[in-house]
This record gives sequence, structure tokens and C-alpha cells, in this order.
Amino acid sequence: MAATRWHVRDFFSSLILHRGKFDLLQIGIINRLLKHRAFQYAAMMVNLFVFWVIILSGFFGSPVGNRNISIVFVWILWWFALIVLMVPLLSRIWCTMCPLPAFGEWLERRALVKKRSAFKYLSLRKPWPSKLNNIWLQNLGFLAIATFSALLVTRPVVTAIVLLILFVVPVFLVLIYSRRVFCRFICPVGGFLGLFSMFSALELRPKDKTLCRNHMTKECVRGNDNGYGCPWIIYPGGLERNNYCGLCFECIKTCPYNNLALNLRSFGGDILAKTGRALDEAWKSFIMLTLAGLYILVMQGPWGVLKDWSNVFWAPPYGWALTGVGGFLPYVGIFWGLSLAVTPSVFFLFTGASKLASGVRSVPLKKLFIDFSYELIPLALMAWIAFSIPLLLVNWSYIVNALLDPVGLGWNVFSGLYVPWTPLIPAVIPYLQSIVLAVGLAYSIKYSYRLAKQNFPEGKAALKAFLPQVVFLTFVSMIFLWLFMG
Amino acid sequence: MKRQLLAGAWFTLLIVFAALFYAPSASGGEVVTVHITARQFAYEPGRVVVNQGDTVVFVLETVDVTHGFYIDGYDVDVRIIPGETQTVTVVADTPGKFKIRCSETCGALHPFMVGEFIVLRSGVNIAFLGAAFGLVGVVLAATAYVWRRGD
Repeated sequence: MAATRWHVRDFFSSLILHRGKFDLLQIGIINRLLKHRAFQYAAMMVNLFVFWVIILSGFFGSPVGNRNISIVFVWILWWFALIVLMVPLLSRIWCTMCPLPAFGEWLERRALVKKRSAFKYLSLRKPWPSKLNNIWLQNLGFLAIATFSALLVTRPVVTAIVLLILFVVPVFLVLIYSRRVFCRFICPVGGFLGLFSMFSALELRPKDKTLCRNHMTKECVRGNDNGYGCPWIIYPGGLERNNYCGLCFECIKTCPYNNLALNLRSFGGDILAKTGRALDEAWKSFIMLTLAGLYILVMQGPWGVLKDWSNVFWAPPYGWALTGVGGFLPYVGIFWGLSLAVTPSVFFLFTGASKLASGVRSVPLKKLFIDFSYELIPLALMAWIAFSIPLLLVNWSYIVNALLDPVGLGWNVFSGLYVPWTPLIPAVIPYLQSIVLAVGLAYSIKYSYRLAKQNFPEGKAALKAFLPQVVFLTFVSMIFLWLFMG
Repeated sequence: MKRQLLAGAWFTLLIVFAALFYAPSASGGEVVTVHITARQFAYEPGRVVVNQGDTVVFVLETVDVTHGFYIDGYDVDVRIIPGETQTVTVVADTPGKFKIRCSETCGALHPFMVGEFIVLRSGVNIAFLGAAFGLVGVVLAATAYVWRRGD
């Protein structure tokens, strides 16, 4: 009992009071669960089943999105759980249970649960091209999917087709390159999960890096009888950021020294990590921040013309018809232009102002641009959370009805039981969104100053460099606030 | 000095907001008729702006399929049927921005069929203004916090 109280106290102390870290692996049941080989398999199997129900329902169920589980479960329930709960609290825990790479991984290992001690991987094991050893493919892939999001999130068959593609691609990739190259370099969801997991309150880290450095056999990379070498192609002993750790927990199983910790920590713990910062991640920040605004504008705004443009294939009544590329092309231009060029350019100007204001010439502008881009992570994440709040609060009844009639073909086993569409506290939603936005802004300001301090440790240069960033963050936040309440 | 400046800024914000909030409404109490045409997947006009206290008569028509007309925070939920004109009257007593939503499944983008009903107080969107002041307050507080800590 005393131990439990201690756990609870430390849990809240690390998460809320920002005092130190708390290793969840100290809790026996979590330790045993994560070390059990069947844990990830079981989690994936459950999702695999749901995944195939969703695909089948997408192809053969009702074409009306809000009556089909493929839309309701994926784009309301899963999305909300992912962005509002899983990413901020549990980092890339979704990757632990994601069913997309399941078949490929099992095929390559020729095993479902057990670790085979002597076997040949079913893969050519080619090295991943070094030029693609970044998240540019994920950036562009996410932008491409986002461009067609009006179709994706409203047409069950489109969701089913995209999920099927995302299911088949990793199988082929694993046969050529092995391991989780799909998750690491291609998965459009993985890109932003990696970026936003830097803000998360959970991290997997080595307890003692010196021990890892001096440990010659490196089982976390090579694997042993207890588990596989890291499928995410990283060195767990050197982990400093969450970005590319998919929380498969193989390293916890293979480490002979139990030298890994699953820490609860304060929010945003990785934003100040100096390793791994690069332009591809900077652009991911710009893309995510811009798309959050555009999604709110197009999907939750009153401008019908934007919805017309986004809805390139119209469906009267639920067939396929092209409404006009004339509107879609400017829409694509706005999405890609703002995300890839306008937002980064404006940010570049403010970064230039920061450098000028600091009075320090020795810090390269490119380094400053990349470093400061990480301050956008809390604001972008909170903007996405704010976008997601009405998805659930307004449309929650669709989830209940989809459970009662998953494919929307009148299978309702509880005949007569139907939940009418009733938004939950709809008038309060803009206020909730504004509060969430304010939290993101406060965190972004906090990290902006600390990033400035990293670059300008002397005197008041950090403060002077930080002020233009505050102006930028406030400007962006005001745009979001106007979308919510103006 | 820093603390005094910050306190001064906070106080000014508070006074301005309180003055706006408690100022008598400059207009309102009029009967405003608003014609709204619903179509897949928008209301036209998409934004309806009135003054607090106005009695708003919405005259609703659809040009394609059946749509709904639901206003967040106001007890309004009517069905707009093709070929018919619906009229609904609302007293705009609560200031702020309220979404108008389609409450009848009308096609693929139905969940995103949204309009806006904006109720001004003293000619301004007091909810937005308050939130904007609040956000500026957050900026000041966060800036002062990191500045003072200096880490």
C-alpha cells in the first residue's frame, strides 16, 4: 500500500509538477506486461481485426460516412484518441499496436510471438537509401493525403482504399529493406507522431548511457533469445528523443542489464534536445501548424466555396462525379504553397529579426531557423487538439450508432435503439479550443526562450532574440483564435 | 520595475475588457430578417452578424436536398425541406460566435456543413475580444515567467 502511494505521488510529481522523472517499469505489472512477447502481438491482433472490419465496411457498407464505422471509428474516435490522448500522454504508443506493419513484420520474422533463436529473415535486407534517411517522404506523403482529406474523411470507400494501400506497402518494403522502414521513413502518420511525441509526457530512455556505450554486444541492436534487435533502426542505448522510437519494447526485452526506463516526464521534454535537429523536421512543424489552420478553415468554417474546392469528387447521390479541377487546383496551391513556402518564409523573416535583435553575428541563420522551428511543436499540437475537440463533442452520437449498426446497412441488433444527433456542450467548444490554444502558446513561448538561450547563452542576447519569436507565436495564435471565436 | 510594468499591463487589459463588457449595448432590439439558402454543403450567407438583443427571423430554403438548421447554444433545430420555406425566430440574447450546423444527413460532407451566427455586443464580438485579451495576458505572463527564471 505504501509503495502504491509512493508510485502515485511520483507519478503526479513528474507529470504535473515537472519534478524529475518516474520510471513506469518500476511498477511490476507494467514491467512484466511490456517484457512479455505476446503483449505487442495481442495489441496488434485486436487492431488488425478492427482494421479489417473497417476496410470491409468501407467497401461494402453504407456509402454515407457518418453511418459507416470506417469513417466514424477512424476519423472521429481513433483520430481524437490519437491526437488528444495518446500522443500528448503516451508518445508513439499507437505505433506499438498499429496493425499496418503487422503482416510484414511477421512474414520477415517467420514468427508471430516467439523469438526464434536461429533463422533467416525473409527479406533481402537492402540498406535504406541514405538520401531518404529523413522524413521528407513522410512530409510530402502527409501533405498529399491531407490535400484529399475532404474525400478521405467523408467517403468510406476512399478510407478503405487508402488503408489497404498503407497495409500492402509495408509488406513489400519489408521484403526488400527489412524491419520498419515503412514506419520510420514513409508512414504519413508516423511523421507527425514523431514530431509531436517530442512534447509527450512519456519517454523510453537508457538509464545509464555509459553502461550502454561500454556494452560491447549491444543486444538492443542485434537482438538475442529474448527479443529482436531494434526494428526501428535506432540505437536504444543512445536515445535522446522520442521521434523515431516506436515503443515496440524489444529493447526492454533484450537488454541484459535492465538498463532501459519508460519515464513519465514533463511535457515537451525533447524540444530542447540538440541532437537530430534538421530541416525535414523543421518543415514538418510548418506543415502541421499550417494544416491545422487550413483544416479548421475548410472543415469547420462557414466558407462553402472552400468546401466545394476541397470536394473534388462530388457524390450525387454517392456516386462519383468531378466537380471541377478549376476549384481544386487553387485549393492544392493554397495547401502546398502555404505549408511549404509561405509559413516557412514568414518564420524565416522573424528568425532573421531574432538574429538581428540579438546583435550576435556568429550564430548561423540556418541553425537558428531550424532550432527555433521546434518551438512550434506545442502550438501546432494544441491547434490539432483544438481542431479535434468538436469532432468528438459534436459527432459522438455517430460513434454510438455505428457500434449498433457498424456498416450502416440496418443491422441494428438493438432494434429501436438509436441515439439522435445531439452535440455535447456545443456553445462551450470555442472556449475549450481557446484554452487549449493558450496552453500551447504558453509552452511554445517557454521553449522559444530556452531555445534562444541555447543559441545565445551570454547576456541579454537570448531575450532580444526571443521577442520576435513571441510576436510570431502571438500572431499565429491570434489567427487560430479568430477561427475559433472571431 | 518589470513587475510594475507587468501589473500595469494586466490592469489596463482588465479595465478595457470590463468597460466593454459592462457598457450598454449601443444597438440591438431590432427585428432582423435573414434569408438563408442551404445547399450541399454550405449556408449562404455563411456568416450572420447581428446585435445582442435583436430578434432574428431566419427565412430558410434549400436548393437541393433536405438540410437541418441547428444553432449551437440556442434552442434551434429545424428541418429545411426542398420546395418549402421554413421560418424560425431567435432572440439573440447571448453574445459570441455560434456555429450553425446541418442536423440532417445531407451527403458526404454533411458533418462539415457549418455556418456562423455572430452576436455582437456594443458593436464588437465581446467573446473574441475577451479571449484575445486573455491570450495577450498568457503571452505577457509566459514571457515574464521565462524572463524572470532566465533558464
